[in-house]
Amino acid sequence: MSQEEIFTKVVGILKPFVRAPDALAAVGPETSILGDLKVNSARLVDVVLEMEDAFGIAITDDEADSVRSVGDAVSIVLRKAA
Amino acid sequence: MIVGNDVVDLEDPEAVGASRRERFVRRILRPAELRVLERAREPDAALWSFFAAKEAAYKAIVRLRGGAPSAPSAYDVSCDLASVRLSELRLRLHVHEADGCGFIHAVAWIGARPEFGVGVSRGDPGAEARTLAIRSVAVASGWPSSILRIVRDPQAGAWDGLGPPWLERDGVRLDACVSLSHHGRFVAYAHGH
Repeated sequence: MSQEEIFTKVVGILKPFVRAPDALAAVGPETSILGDLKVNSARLVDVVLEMEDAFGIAITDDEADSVRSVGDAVSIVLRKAA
Repeated sequence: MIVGNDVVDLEDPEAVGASRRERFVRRILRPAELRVLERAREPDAALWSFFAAKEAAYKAIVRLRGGAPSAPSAYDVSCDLASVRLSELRLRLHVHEADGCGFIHAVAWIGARPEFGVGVSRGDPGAEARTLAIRSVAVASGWPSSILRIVRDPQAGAWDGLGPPWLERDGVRLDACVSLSHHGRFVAYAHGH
């Protein structure tokens, strides 16, 4: 799966949890998941679980802790799926 | 002193039934907390009490250290909800479940017991939480609320690019901690003296 395909899939996972839908129009690797998209901390747990299912990977708490932006989430998938 | 707080609306769709989602629960709770949840008469309330306690501790520790682990399972909440630990750091804890109102409010602190409260949001929860906090500070200090302000500075690496909130009196930063939160129908605050 290409980086672009992973990015699209990650954005699709985030979409139901976003509380600032306008920010999705300009979403990019630098977009902050909590700050820009307003995903709350409880829903971030759901995002991690959905990413595990969608990409068939396991994400540790430390790895989840490092995710600030959409690009961070994509990087974890790229690293894990390699 | 430092303080952090978190409020959870138990009737919000994301909160209802969450205790039945096993992977979600296991991602948040530590083994001893899980055992409490398994015995709880109101498992959703028990789950969100632990979660709010961990969030409150996270906010307080970010203020103390400039950063903290955000994974809920990093925080160890005592079974009696009286304290919460991150490694060697122990914070005191107050968790209030309002019977009939449908919210959990958790406050974690180090130092003197803070003032805290919860209100109902009417549409702009961020502003409403600030207003409630300022009114409470005004009552506690005797200062008029018109000279008090809550500000946040830009902070690189913070989850929303901003640091924790600070109190200002007539534009001068006070050595008094304040924490704001909102979820669903509720807004909440906690502040030091």
